[in-house]
Amino acid sequence: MGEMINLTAEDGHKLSAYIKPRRAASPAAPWS
Amino acid sequence: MIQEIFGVNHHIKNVTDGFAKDGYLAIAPALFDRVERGFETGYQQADIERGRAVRGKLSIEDAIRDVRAAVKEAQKSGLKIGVVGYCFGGTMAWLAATRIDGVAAAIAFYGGGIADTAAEKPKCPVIFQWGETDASIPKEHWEKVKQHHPNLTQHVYPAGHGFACDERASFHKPSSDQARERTIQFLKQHVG
Repeated sequence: MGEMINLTAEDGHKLSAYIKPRRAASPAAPWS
Repeated sequence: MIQEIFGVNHHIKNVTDGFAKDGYLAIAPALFDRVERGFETGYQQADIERGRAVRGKLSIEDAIRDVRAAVKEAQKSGLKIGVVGYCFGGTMAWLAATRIDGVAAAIAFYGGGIADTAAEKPKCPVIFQWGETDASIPKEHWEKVKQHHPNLTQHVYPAGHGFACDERASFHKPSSDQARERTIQFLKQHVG
């Protein structure tokens, strides 16, 4: 799940938004 | 990622998560916050009526301002921006292409307000995804878009309105899968 953040529109209106970061590449296994 | 009339509900969050899994920073602004903060609902008839009522109180100009705020937030990443929208959000995705600077691509799913604004000029590549049996968006809508923009791609699926939403009775998996594949291909081509 992502998270809710707050944005501000150009007229000052505050709105919420659901944001989900890009899925990070899997780290290399320690034995690789 | 622009919502339907049902708010940024758990389906929209799931779709947003899906774009993140495909490698994109994904943001779904709550466009109905201007009318009712935190609005979200399901897909029963009463929910549809609630969503339409809230939508009716929101001006397109204000919705554009809020999409622009999400675009600016995404631009902080330094990456190109694509806008994907469904239903009401489909109309907003089209208008993001015509009215918001910095959008690199837009994908509009069955937006009922697109035909009325078809004369506007997009600033980026756009594709449209329509449902062939969508009673609310008859083929005259697509034809009007075609008249104004003969070079823009329009995909028509053997399905009705909301075919890409797996929580609606109109969900049509084959069409949804194909439309999503085309969406991702289009994003890869123009956004990265």
